[in-house]
Amino acid sequence: MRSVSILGIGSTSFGMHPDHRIEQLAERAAIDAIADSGIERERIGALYLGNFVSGVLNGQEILAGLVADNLGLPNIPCTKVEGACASGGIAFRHAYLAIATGQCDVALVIGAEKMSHKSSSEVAAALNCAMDNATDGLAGLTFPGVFGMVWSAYAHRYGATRDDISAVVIKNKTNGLRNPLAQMKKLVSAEDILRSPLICDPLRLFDCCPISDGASALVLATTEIAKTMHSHPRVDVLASAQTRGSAHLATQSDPCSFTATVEAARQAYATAGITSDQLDFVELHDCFSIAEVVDSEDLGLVKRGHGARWAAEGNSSVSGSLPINASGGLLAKGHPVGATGVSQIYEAVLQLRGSHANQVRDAALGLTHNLGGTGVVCTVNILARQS
Amino acid sequence: MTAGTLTIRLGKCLRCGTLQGPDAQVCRDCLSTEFTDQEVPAIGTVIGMTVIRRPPAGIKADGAYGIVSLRLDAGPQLTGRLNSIDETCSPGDRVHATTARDGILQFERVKE
Repeated sequence: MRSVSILGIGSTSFGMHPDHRIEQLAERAAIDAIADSGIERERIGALYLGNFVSGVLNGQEILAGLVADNLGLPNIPCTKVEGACASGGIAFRHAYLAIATGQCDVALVIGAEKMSHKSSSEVAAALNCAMDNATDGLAGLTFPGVFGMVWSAYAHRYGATRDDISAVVIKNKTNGLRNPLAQMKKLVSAEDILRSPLICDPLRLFDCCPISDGASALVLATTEIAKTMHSHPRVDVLASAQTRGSAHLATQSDPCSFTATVEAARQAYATAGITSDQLDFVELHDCFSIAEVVDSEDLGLVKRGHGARWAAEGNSSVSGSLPINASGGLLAKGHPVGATGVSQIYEAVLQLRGSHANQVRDAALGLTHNLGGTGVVCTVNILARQS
Repeated sequence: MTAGTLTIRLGKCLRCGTLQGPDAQVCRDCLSTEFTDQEVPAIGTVIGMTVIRRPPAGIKADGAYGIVSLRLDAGPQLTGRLNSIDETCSPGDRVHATTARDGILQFERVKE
């Protein structure tokens, strides 16, 4: 396997983009990433695009080929991948593998979604396409419902308090204030969270990520090529893991854990040759406040049952012992679902280059985590700055 | 059996004997596709519970509704609805299905 590096990054802001079609958002992010990489577009050998619900919400498929054509890329393989909210993470991993295995030397990765033009009930119905609709979906389960159940099970087992879990929301909303790309630009208090309407008990509105439009893009290349480019500090991909978990609640072995995350993290740490205590920062999949708590435990960052209290003590703040979601995460930056996995890597690269709006001091080793469906798919990446 | 509890039909694998969820086409344990029907009481223990306050488009519901995941006493896990919103229902509670509407089992707490 060849070593792979990230040469270029680009992203639109996340939020509402009523005047742009989804492919235009994708193209904007891609143009920025190509320019940032310093690579000529003719050298791009493959495109992988992550998207979840463009067919349902925008009536637009074949996005990968459409975007490549509009960008005037060569006659390269262009592939759209779908894995619910982990679509972007899967796209990244496929591009990584294409380069690592010698299929091409340079690849473009895009994640894109456009959702905000639809009502929240229409968006919820579209997202429910990632449910097993013969069982959970038939019963009326939704994704906020999945995490409402996770919270109920977690609180019953570990006794986590509302205030502890609200601390995750307050931290991420605070981080989002400084991120120029973030959708949510409002500080919230514990009282604001408590006053916000119930969505799926005990999840309230501010426990949930917003409905978002947006796109992010990356240019990957062999590390050999990256060594010839000197515009940015080099960022190498030490590991990129993808795993499967439960496609329905009926096969979940533990309601307080996602096995796909546990296994992806194990594989990624082993491939990178590191342990979790060597990480300088993490961008993880906080689609709901309780998700950050469970994810942090599944990734081995904190002991089982301690995630909520650990966050409330400030350990995961930008100046804490292990900053989590300095970008604001999905809760504040936003969650254009197909874009999220790519966006997390965009944010991680900014950290490793030392140019993030919420810069983590001496950031040299970071992890990104992207989760889809009822935990049926997960990607974990470990990225490192090279001097 | 607890009074008023519905029975449901699960598939028992003819090769390894494992009970699978309703409508299973393949045994997750041994990949056999040969099943025999086995009726079991729809009673079990709550794993997780929530109230869906904002149903998505297309869901058959008249406003908010409660939903539970549970492990049947017979083994498999199921997802179903609560007969009525019961915000005090929590993991560990005993529930049983007493009716079904539109093919969805409706659960309520077992009365002591």
